[in-house]
Amino acid sequence: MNILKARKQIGQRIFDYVIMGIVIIISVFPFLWVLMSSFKTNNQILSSSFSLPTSFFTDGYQIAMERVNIFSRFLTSLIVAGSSTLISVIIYSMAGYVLARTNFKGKNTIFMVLISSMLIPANAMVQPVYFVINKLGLYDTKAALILVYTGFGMAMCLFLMRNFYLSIPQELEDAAYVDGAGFLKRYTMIMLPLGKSAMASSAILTFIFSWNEFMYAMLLTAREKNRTLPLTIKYFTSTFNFNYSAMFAALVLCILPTMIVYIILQEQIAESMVAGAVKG
Amino acid sequence: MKKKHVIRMIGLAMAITVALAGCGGNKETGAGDNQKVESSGAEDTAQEESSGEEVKIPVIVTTGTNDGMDLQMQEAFDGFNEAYKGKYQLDVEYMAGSADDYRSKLKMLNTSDSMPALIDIGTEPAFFDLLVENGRLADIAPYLENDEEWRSWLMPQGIEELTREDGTMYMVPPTGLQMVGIYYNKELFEQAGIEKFPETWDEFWTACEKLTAEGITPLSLMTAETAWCPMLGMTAYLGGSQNGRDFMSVRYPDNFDTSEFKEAVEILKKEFEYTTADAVGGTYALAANHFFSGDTAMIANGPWMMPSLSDPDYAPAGFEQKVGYAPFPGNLMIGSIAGWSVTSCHDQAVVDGAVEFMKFYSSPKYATQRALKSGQLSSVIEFPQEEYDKLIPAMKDCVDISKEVEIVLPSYQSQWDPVNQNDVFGREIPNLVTGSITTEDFIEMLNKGAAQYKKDIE
Repeated sequence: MNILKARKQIGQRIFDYVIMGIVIIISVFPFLWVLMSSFKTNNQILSSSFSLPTSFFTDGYQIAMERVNIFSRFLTSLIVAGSSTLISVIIYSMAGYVLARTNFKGKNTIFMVLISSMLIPANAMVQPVYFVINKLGLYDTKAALILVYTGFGMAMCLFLMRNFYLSIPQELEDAAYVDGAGFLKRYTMIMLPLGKSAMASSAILTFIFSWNEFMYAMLLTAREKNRTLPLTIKYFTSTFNFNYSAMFAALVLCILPTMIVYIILQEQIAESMVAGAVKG
Repeated sequence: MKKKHVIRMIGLAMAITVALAGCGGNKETGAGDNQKVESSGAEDTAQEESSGEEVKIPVIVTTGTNDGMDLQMQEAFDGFNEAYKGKYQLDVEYMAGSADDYRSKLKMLNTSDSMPALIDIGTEPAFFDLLVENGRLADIAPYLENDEEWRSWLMPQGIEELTREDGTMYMVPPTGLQMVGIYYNKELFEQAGIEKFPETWDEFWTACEKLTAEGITPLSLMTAETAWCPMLGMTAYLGGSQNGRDFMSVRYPDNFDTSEFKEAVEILKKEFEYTTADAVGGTYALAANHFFSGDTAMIANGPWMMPSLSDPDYAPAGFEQKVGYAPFPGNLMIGSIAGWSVTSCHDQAVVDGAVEFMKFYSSPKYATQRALKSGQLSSVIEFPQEEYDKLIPAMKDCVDISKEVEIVLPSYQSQWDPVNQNDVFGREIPNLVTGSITTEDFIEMLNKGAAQYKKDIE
């Protein structure tokens, strides 16, 4: 009986490891492929995409560093994506709370109008967005990108935050109210800590979008100091020019710092994802 | 406690405001690694125009890794800024991206009348027509009329073609033409027993057969984007007959259902019998890499590819010595006359400065540079013999054949509507060459695409 049980456990463990292995391969493979390709020549990448590098070719890194100021662009991306994420999380968390917990005329209409922006394609908004940014005197500034990305994140963040606050039992707030907590205190002391997981989701979505966005970064900036990382990648592949070796090297340089930060802070990030979750 | 939180919130709001203010509105000129001169943006241009003695001329150009045209353009910008120091200053924004990205940006700037002073519309005649119609471009004709020296540097055919019926001119005529032909690997040709590049289409297909028999793939092709390489072959075949040339001379043709065009579509299909397995759905990079690796014997492309032949990032050492450049069978090459335009969105001083740069750019020094680095060969400025001797074989061929070529056909990219180019070609050419659709279906789709475009612009 014990032998059967032990065999079953071993079988279960093997199955678990196989599944975990598949998930790990799926998750890590794209990065490993990019990393591996960054040490291959242009020719090797195009001729045999999945082969291992035959030599340690580092010219791609040299070209990537020489042609574009990747570190400056990394910093710009970090400022833009970080600021838009921070602003989004603060503003939309407050807005989500108000839309979830207070009653006023036209509340649902306002909410519908705000989240309906999700249905408008980003391409269709190029002209009006440029017009507004230009009129505000923000063309070719980081603030323009921060403003635009914060705006684009609105629908998703608001939707997530409002729905999360709606799922928190009203009794918690009522108890705080009985204890003498006002509107602001109930939000900052009760709802905000509970809403950490929704805020983390909103932050991740906004950050990823802001970090990867290409079109508005290209259209709304002109100077090197305001250019973000996605524009760098484009530098190595135009209509009749391609340098995949340098492009992959640039990609690695772009990804590596965020990966290092994630590895160092992974516990805190994972904690923030689950902290405040309402149980039962 | 409540007061404390309010103070915290106000503090946070102030911090955000300060951060945003810090991010924006800074007009100083920074220096990027690959930036010769940095742009200060569209909005501040107007202020700069009138504030100082030096007139700033905003320009946006695309930049790539080793495009010959880009490299010599950067030299011209530097040369102009040095020569006109204190009077004019080109304020150049180098934009990494495709020609489509560049035009998207121009279109966006156009809506608020803040385009740069110099623009290169390239192969989108519909956008050019729109700009002319809306009075966004400056008329170059009066400048040229009063400047015999400048006129003498420009291609007479260019002046003729770009002068409109009413005498106006909204594109600066080029000093030369980049003529598209076929690059071929002489070593592989020799291996297959082919002594010289085929002069007729029959000889061309025979050469393809010989190469195939030797186990060499004859053509580098692809279908992504507008299927540039195979379409060049197809249109070159079309240009072999007078009717075909007449067809190619029409801008935005609305009827592709002609016997010549049908025949050309069959040629397009035939090309794919002699190419690599990854050509269907493949990109230019993939097709070019096959040629650079010696996997294929031929690729149709323009002289802007010349620098790549000797670039170690693209080709093995010594590869440039194996490559020749030839016209399409029938002694035909493809090239469209196009040039830069000066916009009228700025003060007269800026317009004058932009025109002055175009003259500077047309001067024999830079015309020769363009001929050397990007194969834009001038018909009025003699190619310097001392430079000729230093050229790679393919570039020498380019110089030689440009003197003897009989037919120069405009590129399909400058003649046909963008709906067909952007939507139909990329989507349907793979279906056509794999037999999923017939020649008739393809032609019907092109006619629909042309009709759609006409409807769109109306």
